[in-house]
Amino acid sequence: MDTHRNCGYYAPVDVTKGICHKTKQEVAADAQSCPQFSPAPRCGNCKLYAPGKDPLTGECKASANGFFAYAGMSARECKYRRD
Amino acid sequence: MATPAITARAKKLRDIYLGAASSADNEFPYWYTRQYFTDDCEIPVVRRARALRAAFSSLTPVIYPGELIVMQKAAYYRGSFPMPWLSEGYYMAREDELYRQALERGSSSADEHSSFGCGGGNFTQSRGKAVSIAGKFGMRQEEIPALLKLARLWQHKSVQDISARYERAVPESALKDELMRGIVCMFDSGYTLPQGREVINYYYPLQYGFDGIIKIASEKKAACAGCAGGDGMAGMNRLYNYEAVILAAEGLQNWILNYAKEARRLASFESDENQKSEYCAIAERLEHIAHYPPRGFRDAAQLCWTLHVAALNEDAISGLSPGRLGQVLYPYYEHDTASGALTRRDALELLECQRVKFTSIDCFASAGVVGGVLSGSTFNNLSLGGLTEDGQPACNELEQLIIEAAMSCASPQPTLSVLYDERLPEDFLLRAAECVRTGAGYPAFMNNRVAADFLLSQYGGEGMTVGEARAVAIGGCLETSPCSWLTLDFAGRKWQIPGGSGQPTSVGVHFVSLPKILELALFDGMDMRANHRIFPPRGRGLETCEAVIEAFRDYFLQAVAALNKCNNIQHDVWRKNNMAVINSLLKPDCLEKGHLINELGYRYNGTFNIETTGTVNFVNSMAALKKLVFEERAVSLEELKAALAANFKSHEKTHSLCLNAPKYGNDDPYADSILAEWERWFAQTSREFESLYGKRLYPCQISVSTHGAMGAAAIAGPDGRPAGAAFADGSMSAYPGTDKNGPYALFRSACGWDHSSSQNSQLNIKLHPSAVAGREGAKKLLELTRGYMRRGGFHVQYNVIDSSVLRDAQRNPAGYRELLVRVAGFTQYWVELGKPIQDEIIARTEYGEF
Repeated sequence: MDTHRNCGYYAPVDVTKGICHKTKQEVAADAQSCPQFSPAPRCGNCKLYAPGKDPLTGECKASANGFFAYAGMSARECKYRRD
Repeated sequence: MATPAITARAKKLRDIYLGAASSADNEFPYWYTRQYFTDDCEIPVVRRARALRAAFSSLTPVIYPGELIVMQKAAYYRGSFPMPWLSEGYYMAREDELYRQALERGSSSADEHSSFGCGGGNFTQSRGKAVSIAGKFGMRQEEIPALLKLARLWQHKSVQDISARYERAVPESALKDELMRGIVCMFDSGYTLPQGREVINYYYPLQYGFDGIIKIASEKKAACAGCAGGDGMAGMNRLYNYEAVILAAEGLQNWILNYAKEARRLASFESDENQKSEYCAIAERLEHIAHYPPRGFRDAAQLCWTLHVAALNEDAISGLSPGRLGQVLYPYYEHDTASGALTRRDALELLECQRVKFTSIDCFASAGVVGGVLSGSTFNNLSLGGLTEDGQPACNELEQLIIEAAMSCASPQPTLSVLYDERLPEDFLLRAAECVRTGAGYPAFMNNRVAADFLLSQYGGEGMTVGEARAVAIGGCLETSPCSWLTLDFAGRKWQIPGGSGQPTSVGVHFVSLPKILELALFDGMDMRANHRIFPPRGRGLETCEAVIEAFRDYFLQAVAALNKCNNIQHDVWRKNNMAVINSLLKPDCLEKGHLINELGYRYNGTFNIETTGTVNFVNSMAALKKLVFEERAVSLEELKAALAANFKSHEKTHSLCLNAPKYGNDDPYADSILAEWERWFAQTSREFESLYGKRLYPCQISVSTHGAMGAAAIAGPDGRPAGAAFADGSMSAYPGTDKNGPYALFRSACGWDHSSSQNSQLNIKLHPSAVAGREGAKKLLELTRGYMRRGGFHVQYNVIDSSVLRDAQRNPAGYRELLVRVAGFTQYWVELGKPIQDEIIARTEYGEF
C-alpha cells in the first residue's frame, strides 16, 4: 500500500504521524497516501537489496561482508543505492 | 513588563513539538555498525572516526515547513537512536518480547493515532505499528529486528560488556553490584551517559570553518607523522588522532550538505513563494557553513546548532550546555544589526525557533536513566551574564533578547542560568527576575564569584588563572564547568569568546544516597527494604553519636571506593574504544596538541566527581538521632530502629518525636552545624579519590530526579520521612514543610559552610505568584536572590506557582500539556514527570510572602 510514510513528500514527526510537504497538513504515517504519491527511497526498492530467510530483514548486496538490511529503511543518502 | 507574545512561526513549530512523541530509529547505529565491523584491525580512534563519518554521511535529512534553523538528531522531530556500542544489554534482555511485538503488531486504526495527551511526548504504550521501548520511546515495528540484530552484533563488545568483564578484577566489584541493586547508588556513567554535564565549545568552526579545521589537521598530521615529539607513550598517536579529526569533519560536512540538498529538493516543488525562498536561503547557508566560517548571525546560529547536534549524535550525552551562547553570537548580532541585515524582531524569532530545536532534543538511554535520573530532560543549560576576562559585566543586548525569547516561547530547553555578579547591571538582573516571575522556572541564579573560587581551587593546578576562571559557564543543570576565552576574528575585529574547555562532569561516582547509607549504618550493613545484606557487618555497637557517624563514614568510604574503581574501568574502556572525536576537535587544546579527550587533550581534565542525593534528609536524621537518642534519651536506638523498620506503624509517639526534632532550614545551629561538618568532611574526603585521568575528585551536590527514585528505595528515616517518600530535592532545599521561618532563615541555614568547596549546591524555592506580583515583585525577587548570593550561596531557583494548580494538573493532566515546573536544576513539562517527583514538588513549602 502507498502509505504516507513511504511518500517522498512526507516529513516524519514521530513514529505514527508526519507532515505532508505538499499539503502542509499532518497525516497518519500508515494511512493511504493521496494520488500525488511519490515513492521515498527505501532499501526495499533498491536493486541491491535481497530478502533473507528472516521474514523481517534481508541483505545489502553492496556490502562486502553481506551486512543485513531491512526493506523499510530510508535509503535517501545511501551511496550504494540503485533504483 | 508584560510577557511578550510568541511569534506565529515559533508557535507553529512548538505546537508540532507538543504533539510529537519521542521516537527512535536505527539509521545512525546501522551505518555506524556496518562501517565499524568493516574496519577490523584499524587503529581504534580511526576506526571510530570512520564509523562516525559513515553514520553522519548517511542520515536522512528532514526539514519541516517554517523552520529557520534546521538539522536534528534523527529523522523525527523528537528523534533519537540507541548506541549499542555503549550498551546493548537492555535490548538483549528483552529480545524475545520485542521480536514478538515486531511480528504481531497489526494494522493501525485512525483512533490509535489520536490518543496523545497524558504523559506528554512519552510513548508509553505500543500502538499501531509502533512499539514502546522503555516506556518512553516509540520505534516502528519494522525497525525492531534491526535493533535486535545491531544489539547482537555488539554483545560482548559494548563498553558495558567489556567493562563488566574487567570490573570483576576489582576486589570490591561484588559490593558495587550490591550497591546498584539496593539503589544505594544510581547509575554507571561509563556506558550510560559517558559525556555531558559540560559546556560545548563552538569556537574552532566559527573561526576557521570545517575546511580550515581539515587544513589545520592535515598540516599537523604531516608535521607529526613518525615523530614522537618527546613523548614516548602517546606522541606517535597524534598522527592517528589528526586522521580521525579529518574523517569526522568530513562526515559532518557530508551531513550538512545532505541537508542543503534536501532544502533544494523541497524548494523544487514548493508552491508557496515565501517558503520556497526560505528553503533556498537554508540551502545556501548550509552550503556555506559546510566549508567556511559564518558570515553573519543567521549563519552562526545555524552552525552552533549543527555543532551541538553533531556532538550529541557522537555519544549518549545529557547536559551538553551551549554555555554563554549570547556572548558567542554577539559579534554576529552586533554586526548584522548595525548593517541592517538583521532586526531585533528577526533575532527574537530566530531565538524562539532555536528554543524549539533545543527542546526537541531527546536522549535515548535506559528507563532508569531517562526516567529515574533525568525525568526526560536533556539539560542544555544556557548561561547569561558573568564577567569578561578583565572583570567587567559580560551581559549584552543579545542576552536580553535570549531572556525575552524564553519568556515568549516558554519551553524546557535551553534552560537559563544567570551567572550572578554584583557588577551586573540592575536592568539585566531585573529582566531575569521578570522571566522567573512568568513561572517557567528559569533562569536559575548561580553565584559567579563562588563558581570562580571553586574553579581556581580545582583547576589552578592545571594552569587556570583568575581571568580564565571568569569564562565559567554551567554545564548540565548546575555543574560549574571550566571554560576558556578564545580570540575570534570577525568583521575586522577581535573578540574574546567563552567556551567549554573541560572534560565531562558528573561522571565518576553517581549518585550516592546519603539516607540509605545511614540506614545501612544503623542496621549494620542490612538493606531493610529488601531484607538483604549489602555491607559486611561491622559488629560494633552504636552507643554514641560519634559511633553512628563513624559507621556512616566507614560505609560511605567503602561504597565510594568500590564505585570509583568500577567507574574508572568503565570510562577507561570508553576512552579506548569509544573516545570523543567530534567533541574533542571542538575543545581546546586538542587541535593544537594532537591529543583527544582520552589522552588529556582538553585543557582541564580534573572533572570527575562524587555526587550525592538526600543531603538534607541525612542532616535532619543525624540531628534527630543526636538529640533524641544520645542527648535527651527520649527514645532508645533500638526503639527508633524498630519504628523505622515498621515505617512508624504503631510507633506514633516516636514518629512525633522525630518530626519535631531540629530541622535544617530554620536557622537552627543544632541542625546547621551537622550540615557544616558533613560538608567539610565530604569536600576533604572526595579529594582522596582519584579518577582514571589521575586527577582528584570533588563533591557534586545536585539531585536531578534521583531524590524520587532513591527515596522510594529507602525505609523511613529518623527525620520522620516515611518509607518510600522522595527525599528533599537538591542539596540545600529544605525537606517539604519543615522550613517554618521563611526564606531568609533557610538562606542562613544553607550558608553555614563554604559553597566553593563543592562544584555546586542546589536550593529550590517555591513561591506563590502573589508573593512576586508586578514590577515590585520582580524587585523583591531580585532582593531575595541577592540575600542568598551575598551570604555565599551558590545557586537558587524558583518555582512561581500556586500549589493548587499543581494538584489540579495532577488530577487533570490533559488540560495542562504546556505547564512547566522547575524540578531540580531543570525545567520540565509537568505531564512528562513521574508521579513521585510531581508529589514532591506539590509538597514543597510554598512561600506566600517574605
